Amino acid sequence: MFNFIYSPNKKEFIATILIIIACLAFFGFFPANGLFQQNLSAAAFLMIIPLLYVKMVLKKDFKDFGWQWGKTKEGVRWMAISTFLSLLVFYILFHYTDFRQQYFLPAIVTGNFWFFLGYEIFLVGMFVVFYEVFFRGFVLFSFIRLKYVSVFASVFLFAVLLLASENFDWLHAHYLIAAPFAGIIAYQSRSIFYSIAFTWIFIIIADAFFIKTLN
Amino acid sequence: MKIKTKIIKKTLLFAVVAGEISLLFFMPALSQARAPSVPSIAAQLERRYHLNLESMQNQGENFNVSDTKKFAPQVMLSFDPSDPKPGEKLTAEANPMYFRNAKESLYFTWYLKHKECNLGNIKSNDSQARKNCDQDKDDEVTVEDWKIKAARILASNEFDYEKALSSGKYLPDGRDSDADGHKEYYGGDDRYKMPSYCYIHDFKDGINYELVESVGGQEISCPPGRTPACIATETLNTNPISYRCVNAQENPICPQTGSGIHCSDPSTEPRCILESYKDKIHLGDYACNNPLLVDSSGILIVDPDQNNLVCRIDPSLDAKSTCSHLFPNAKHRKTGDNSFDNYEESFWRTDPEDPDTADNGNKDEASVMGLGRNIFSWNYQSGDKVGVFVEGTSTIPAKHDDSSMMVMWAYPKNKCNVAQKGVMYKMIKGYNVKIPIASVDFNDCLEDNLVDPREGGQATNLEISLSYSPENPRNDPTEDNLGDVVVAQSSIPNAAKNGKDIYYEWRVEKSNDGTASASSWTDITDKFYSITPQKGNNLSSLKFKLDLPEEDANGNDFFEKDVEYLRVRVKASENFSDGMTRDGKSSVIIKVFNTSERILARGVDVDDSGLLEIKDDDKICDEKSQDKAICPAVKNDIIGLKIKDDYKNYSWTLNDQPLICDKSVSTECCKSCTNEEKQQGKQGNVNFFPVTGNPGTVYTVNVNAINEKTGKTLQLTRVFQVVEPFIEIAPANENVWPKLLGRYKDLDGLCEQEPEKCDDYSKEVFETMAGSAEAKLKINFHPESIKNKTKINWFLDGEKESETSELSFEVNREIEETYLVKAKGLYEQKKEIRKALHEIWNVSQFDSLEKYMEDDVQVVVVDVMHETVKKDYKQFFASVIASLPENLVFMLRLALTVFLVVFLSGFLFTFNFQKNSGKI
Repeated sequence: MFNFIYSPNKKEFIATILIIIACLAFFGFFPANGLFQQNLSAAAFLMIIPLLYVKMVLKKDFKDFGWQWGKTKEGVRWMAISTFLSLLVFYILFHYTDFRQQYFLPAIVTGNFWFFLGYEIFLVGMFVVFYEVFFRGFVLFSFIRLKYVSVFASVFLFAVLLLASENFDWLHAHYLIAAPFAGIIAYQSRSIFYSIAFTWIFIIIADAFFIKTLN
Repeated sequence: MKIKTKIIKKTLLFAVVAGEISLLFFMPALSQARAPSVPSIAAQLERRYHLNLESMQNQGENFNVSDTKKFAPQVMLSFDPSDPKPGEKLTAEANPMYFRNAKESLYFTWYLKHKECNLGNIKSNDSQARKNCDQDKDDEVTVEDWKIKAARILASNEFDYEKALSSGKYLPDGRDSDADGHKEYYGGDDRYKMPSYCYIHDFKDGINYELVESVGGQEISCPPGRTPACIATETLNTNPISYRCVNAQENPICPQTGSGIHCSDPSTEPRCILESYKDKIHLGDYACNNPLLVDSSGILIVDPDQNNLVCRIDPSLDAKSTCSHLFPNAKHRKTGDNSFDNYEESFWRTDPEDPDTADNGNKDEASVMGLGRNIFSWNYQSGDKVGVFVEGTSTIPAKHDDSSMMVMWAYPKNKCNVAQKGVMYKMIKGYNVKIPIASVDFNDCLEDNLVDPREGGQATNLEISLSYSPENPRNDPTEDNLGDVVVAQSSIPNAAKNGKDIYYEWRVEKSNDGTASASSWTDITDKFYSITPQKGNNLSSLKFKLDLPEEDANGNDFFEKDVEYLRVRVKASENFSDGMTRDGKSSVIIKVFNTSERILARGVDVDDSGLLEIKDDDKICDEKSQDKAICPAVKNDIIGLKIKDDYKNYSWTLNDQPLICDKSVSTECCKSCTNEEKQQGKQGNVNFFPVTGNPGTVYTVNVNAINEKTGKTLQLTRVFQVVEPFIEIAPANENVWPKLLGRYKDLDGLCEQEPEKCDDYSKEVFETMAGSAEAKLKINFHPESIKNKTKINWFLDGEKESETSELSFEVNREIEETYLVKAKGLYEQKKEIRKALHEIWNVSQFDSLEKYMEDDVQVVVVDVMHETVKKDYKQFFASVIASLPENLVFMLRLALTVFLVVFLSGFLFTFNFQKNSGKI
């Protein structure tokens, strides 16, 4: 056990786990009032700390954490497969669960295309980037040596974060559906760009479909 | 001889003495005696009876023409409805005037013309016209057909003629089985055996002409260049050649020129006959032309209206009076012969077994005659015209030596050309009486007197009367916009259809010279900020608010004088279904007082002696514009009223009753008044009134005053309305806001342009941010004036929190949890005010009790992360800016945390764990 701990890789491994736990804990419990503070808090704990940690403590390149184009072919292929499968899951949820009744979008978004675009680009886009940078970029690539276990770990931690949240509901369903597919894409392509693009596209299509059914 | 001389001398002396004595005694009496003088007597009469010669001359002149001013019979037609629709039952009512007879004894000869029934021959292929128009089957449309059409309607009373005909009811035996004949009498049914002379009144010259069979005139003509002239001396012959053609251009010389030939009418000239008639020339062989004179015996009759002179033979030689009814007749039958046989029954389509088919109390023949039938109803068709000739006895006596009065006819348009005129002389009571005569067939006048039910006999214009209120409107040139609302109301008593569907056009104009009698007016309709629609149907009134500025948009003087005049004009038109319209116009001039001054409302206090004093710092209804217009007041309050003290002779009224402020009310009523003036009850610029009415009661305060220096008159009005007071909880800081319930969707797209104006916020449910440092609530008082007289108690979740005007609490509950906030208010007047109410205005203390009010709201804690987007993106940025210091602290805290985490992780890597060394 001590051998494991004293090993330089093991030390990094343990420190990384501690950082992940700390970030998630701070993200969940750091007191923040209002949208501005909550967004700032998310940016700090899901993106800034992991990036600082990688660059300043581990002194590694961001490429190792998915900030690269990686295997483009794999990325695109898995994006296509994942989009299809995730939409299939979404369709099943939409038709066979309470999702349709429980999910909602702000009236201002459903009633005006430009607000919809702004909402999807800025608000959704911001959180997609935060989540992907942390869970795929930081968590998954920290444990990439464990192969698919790293995918599972990233999805598991994300699920725990959402499920532990007191306001967990159908509004988080999109992210939960996308998380395993995003993990696979990132793992296969060694890049978070494709997983970000996939999650973003999936949520936009799903929201657009939802609005269409409203009308 | 000497003795004789002495006797004579003595006798003369005696005579002289006796004469002198007589003169001495009787002279005074003689000096008073005068011979009677007619002019002096007349003058005495004038003086005694105040007779004025000019007036008498005037009376005499009127007497001279009085014969042509007599009232001839007339008839007026009215229709109901005045806008008949095709197929609708239309009733025409004839109202005859100036007849001696009662209406029931007059003969009303109605006639009805359908659109296609013009006079003349009927085309062979026009079966429709033949069926509808040719009532007597003579292949020609005559006035007789029109009369028959109407008489059948009157007499048959919608009797089922076809059925009676097919069932053989009309027996061809010429008997009058139901004895429904009726005898006619000239001049009306009540003129039995009375002598009858029929007359026509010429409405142009005012003369009543006796109707004769023929005037006997004969028109003559001359070759070109010659003018016919009648010769007086030769007209005694009945020979029609009793005229001469004189040369109109050459003025032939008369042999007797200069021998005293003259015309009695100075406007005419004598003219001589042609040379060829020289052998017959004598003093009478001349004629007076343009117009030709009628000779003194009245034998010659000349038509002065015609350029070609016309000579007629003396009509009195063969004139024969005549009378003829206008009754329609069945073929080969005479109406009014007291016989109404089966043929006539069939012709008039009456019931042969019912003597009174029309059920009007008259026999069938009398119905055909139109006896007493002043009302005629039929099913109107487009283009129908109707007329009536009323026969009766006028109030004008005939000149004949018997009981006769003139039998005359009245017709709706008084149109009947009396062309064949003349005079005849009759020896009556030993005098040769001149009687004007004419030969007229009234049937020729029927067409001219047809009336279209949609125009004839009715007023052609709408009679519009305009009124306005208030009586003395006030314009407010300030931005407060507290001017009066002027209501101009139109009334059209003669409108059809109860005034519905009338198109109105309104206009408001301003006097250009500031007087009511301005020569020019400027249209300022579009200058009003608030004015009701001016063009459209049923806009019987116009309302506009007098908030006209002193200067227009270009900076020019616009409404700057103390008194300005506005003219409201209205044009109305009534449209009928066939395109006919009736128009009317009217206008009213309104005097407008232009002032920015107003009656100020102030709170009231009571001094030590129980008198009222005005609180200048306690302003009532001075902020909100709607309060300035109608100031809300609370029952049992006292309102102080004040205006500038620049005027004199103040006169206050409250709801048109005098509002008196004297020393029993306050010492401030008239500060500028002397003691003497106060004793006289002179009013000042301050007054008070108690609000004693129940909610809804309106108090209108008026004050009139005059500025003695400038002569400027002041007339101000202020309106107060009693309201039920209430309190309302409202957010007091940005951490609490009313819940957005939704957004109105309007039809004009205004909500898309200014969406925030269409937001619907809850008054019962507020929202607050989770973790807000402090949520603040306040009380809104309605009306504002109760604020200082109301005690407030705040309750948070049922527990009393404070008695201040605001409630603050920390938001420490979880999202979607709720705070229940209640505010209770107690409004009560000060004891001194209640006492003053009682002592000054006798308001019972039991009527001036306190008032309890309360309001409650729910404050829901929301998650701003989600709610912000729903709420409004603008509010998010507003929240960020408002919470900037808080955010800065947060960012500092966050930065420190980030730094600490990164530092600790780096610090962890500085430890070098050596295997088996036992130390770090």
